[in-house]
Amino acid sequence: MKSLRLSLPVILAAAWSFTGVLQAQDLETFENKVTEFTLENGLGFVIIQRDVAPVASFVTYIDVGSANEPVGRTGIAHIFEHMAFKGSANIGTTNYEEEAKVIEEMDLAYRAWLQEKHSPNAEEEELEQLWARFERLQEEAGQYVVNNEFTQLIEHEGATGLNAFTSADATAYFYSLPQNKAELWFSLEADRFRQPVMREFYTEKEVIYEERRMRTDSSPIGRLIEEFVSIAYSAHPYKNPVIGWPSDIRNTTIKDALEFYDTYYDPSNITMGIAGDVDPEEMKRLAELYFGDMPGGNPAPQLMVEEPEQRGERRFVIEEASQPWFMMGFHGVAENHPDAKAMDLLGSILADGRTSRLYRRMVVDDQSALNAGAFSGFPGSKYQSLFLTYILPNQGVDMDEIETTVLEEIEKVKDGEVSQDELDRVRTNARAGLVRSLASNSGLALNFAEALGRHGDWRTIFTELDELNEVTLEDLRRVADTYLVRKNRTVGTIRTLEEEIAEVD
Amino acid sequence: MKRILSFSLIWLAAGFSLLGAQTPYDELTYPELNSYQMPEIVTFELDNGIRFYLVEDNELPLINLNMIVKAGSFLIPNDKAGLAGLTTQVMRSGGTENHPGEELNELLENRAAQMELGMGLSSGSGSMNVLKEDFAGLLPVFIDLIKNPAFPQDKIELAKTQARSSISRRNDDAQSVASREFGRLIYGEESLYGRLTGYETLNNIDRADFVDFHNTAFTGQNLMIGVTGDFSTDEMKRMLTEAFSGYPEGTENELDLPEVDYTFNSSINFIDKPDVNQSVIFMGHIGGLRENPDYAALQAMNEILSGGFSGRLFQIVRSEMGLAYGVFGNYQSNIQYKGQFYAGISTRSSATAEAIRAVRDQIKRLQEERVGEDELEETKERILNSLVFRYDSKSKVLRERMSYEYNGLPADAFDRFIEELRQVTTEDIYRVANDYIQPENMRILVVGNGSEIGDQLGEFGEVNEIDISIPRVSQAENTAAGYDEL
Repeated sequence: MKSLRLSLPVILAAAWSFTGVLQAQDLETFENKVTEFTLENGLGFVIIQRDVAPVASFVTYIDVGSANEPVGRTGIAHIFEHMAFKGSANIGTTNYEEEAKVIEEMDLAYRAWLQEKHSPNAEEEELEQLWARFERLQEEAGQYVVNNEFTQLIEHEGATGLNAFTSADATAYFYSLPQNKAELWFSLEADRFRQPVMREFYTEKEVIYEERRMRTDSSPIGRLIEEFVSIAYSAHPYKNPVIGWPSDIRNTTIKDALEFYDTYYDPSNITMGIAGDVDPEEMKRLAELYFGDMPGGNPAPQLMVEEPEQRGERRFVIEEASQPWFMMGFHGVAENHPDAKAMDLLGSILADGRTSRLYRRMVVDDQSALNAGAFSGFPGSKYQSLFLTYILPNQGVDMDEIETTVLEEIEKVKDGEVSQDELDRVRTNARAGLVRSLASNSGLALNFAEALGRHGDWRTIFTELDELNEVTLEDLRRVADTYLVRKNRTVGTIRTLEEEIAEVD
Repeated sequence: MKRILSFSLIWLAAGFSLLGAQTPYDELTYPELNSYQMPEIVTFELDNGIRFYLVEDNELPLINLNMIVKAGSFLIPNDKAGLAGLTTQVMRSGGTENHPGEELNELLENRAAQMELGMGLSSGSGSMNVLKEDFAGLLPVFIDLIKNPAFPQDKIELAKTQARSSISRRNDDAQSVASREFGRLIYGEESLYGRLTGYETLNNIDRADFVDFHNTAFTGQNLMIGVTGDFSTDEMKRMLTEAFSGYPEGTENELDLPEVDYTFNSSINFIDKPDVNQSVIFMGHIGGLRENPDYAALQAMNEILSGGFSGRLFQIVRSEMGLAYGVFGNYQSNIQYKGQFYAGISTRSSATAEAIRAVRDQIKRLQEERVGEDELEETKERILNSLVFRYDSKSKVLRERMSYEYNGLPADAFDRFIEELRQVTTEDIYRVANDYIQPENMRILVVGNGSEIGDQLGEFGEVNEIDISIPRVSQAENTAAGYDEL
């Protein structure tokens, strides 16, 4: 019993070893494993050699997210992502030439219906006719479809993890294959991204409405988040849901989706990551072969909207049957801002792990919360983002008490109560988190492609950790003082409707 | 000029031959797969019954220890439902006399080390993930944690408060309501597989129960410990032998779980959730056991019905009909007790009946028409071609080995499954679909918005409405049970 105690100082003395390991080894090790190159058209590649098993993961990362969407077309980045699974001119069709003609006509019909529908003097009969015409063409186009041939081809070769995501900041497509089938990925990826097809477009929008119903409309937390960002932001497109507003999903046409592709899927906006048991020279040859002649030269436009300064606190309450939630967010900084690392660490100090301030205070000590969270970079992190705190109150705890407690903990940070030990601890855990993530092909391929595509250098994965080391206690105090202030915040809650919690004895 | 031109032409041609030519996807040929060495697992057992499984993996300077505990909530009577999970929770949060919870948290987080414990229905788990330098120093702490939990009263109360809070939130999310309540429809609300932790069962649990359950579960005879990471096997073996040699042996628990009592019948069940605009639908009946000789054919059938993007439910109900984002189906073959056969979908309220019919049609189709040779071959190849991923990490190999031994499956169970899968015929699929599935005898559950759904469910029979409101104990009972009111 005592000997265990004696070993404690020894253990604590070594507490910085995670730092040591990473700084000494990792960047250097990876310099030898990573190959990076850019094709003449601007398409970037990063290859990470990892031969622990004869498999490899492949990622296509596009530097476009829902934040880049045109007004009235929210959700289009995600709609396009769904369409990229529908095949190509060569795959998924019995006769692309004919199919393409019908798809074009179908889209014209849909656009005509949309126009009429929104006309102030829309006529029911005319609408019905237009809709009938659209449906007829949709059915006709459907006759050329070879259902899911594209995804089936990939799964047939033993692919795992086939999927994609769209976020506020980015879109990524990925799967893993046995390492000897890398050329299949090149061939199929070139096929779908060089000439995208809008096959089954309007049926797929039905699937997307269902995704929206599932993630947002029918989920209390989904509803709260959607409401929250739309209130916290005035001008910046971070205010829009990634999946899109329902009427925007409806109003988006094939023409819009293709314009979006033309604008944002230029090779200079795309980065591909490959991690696994592959030969970088061979990957380079295949990259040139399949993507060298992809036309480019139209760099994607930058997003220029800036969120204006907030003039006062914003608040809202959703009253409904589900149990209470509390959210408080402050306008913070973009990820490339000098204060970004201090904000990240502050989030960890408040709510990461069992030693964090909000966990100790609210979950363990006063037992007011089931769970507490805080982090910077919401709903995205590329542009000026929110520093978000959220609390799941325990039964019967007053919402005012929750808010007071969170604010008290923020005040303590401003008063300089954070200790050097706390700061060191969250830095150590940030490093450990990175080390642990390095043992997966899919994680490596995505993280390295993102770092190269978004920050221009995969090494930022490691150098960003060094930036964490530069953050001081004074920085934490200062950023809390600067950003976590009343007029800069939005508070949103779910309040449980009384009749729904009537006692059933 | 001419010379230069021809020179560049040669260059160009050379460049092209170096690059090769783009090959259409259907004409690609693949080089042989790089060879792969199966990692060697070293095993040994101590006198106290603890079995160890070691695999070296020096990719990263980390060591991961993963433990399986032969115990589970199946050992807990209904009136104390919830005790099993609470026990491991308080073991971790309360720590030991030497390492009280708060101190333990700091000790671990200062070095980004992780220790976690958990307890499920038919197995428990423990883990320690650390930097390799920390392993020797933290191993005694881990052993202390699983051997000498302090179970302080304040942490017991905290865990119960959290449990009560979770209970109050369990009807908020329609998806989880549906999967939970469908399980209860199949296994029975009072059965081990359907029961819920309630305010009352929490009140029935006291500290002595925690101590008892810990003593039953965390004995040497019930522990299997796997270690992967950057170490030398001989040294690790020595270290583990020394550290665990004094660990109490105790007695081994029998994994004997009660049989499922099930009678086939059809029903249509409804749970009203006015705050949603989508119906979450489950349908099905009891499933089977892993030991079933038709296991491979049933797995192939599952794949045909709902494997990845290629399964019929995805292809037809999602892609062609646009009825859902989420659609799924599976005939479960569990190891310790019978699984469920279920299929389901989330769809807009107005399409509820259409979606039920669409999913049911695909189930029926498995019985009515023989699957095509092509479709079956395609399905088999999908599985066979992905086999290389089965061993894409050393820890995966280790986990599979431990799980098979824990569940009493032969070491070559998976290889046998693959051999059997190769032999599965279209006739087999037709036969198992007809032998094991009863589309006319399914219990259907819809969780959705009653006012939007209207009378759509009538066509499936007389609707049985399920009340999921949470039974509350009166305040007097709460106080009597000895905790502060909230």
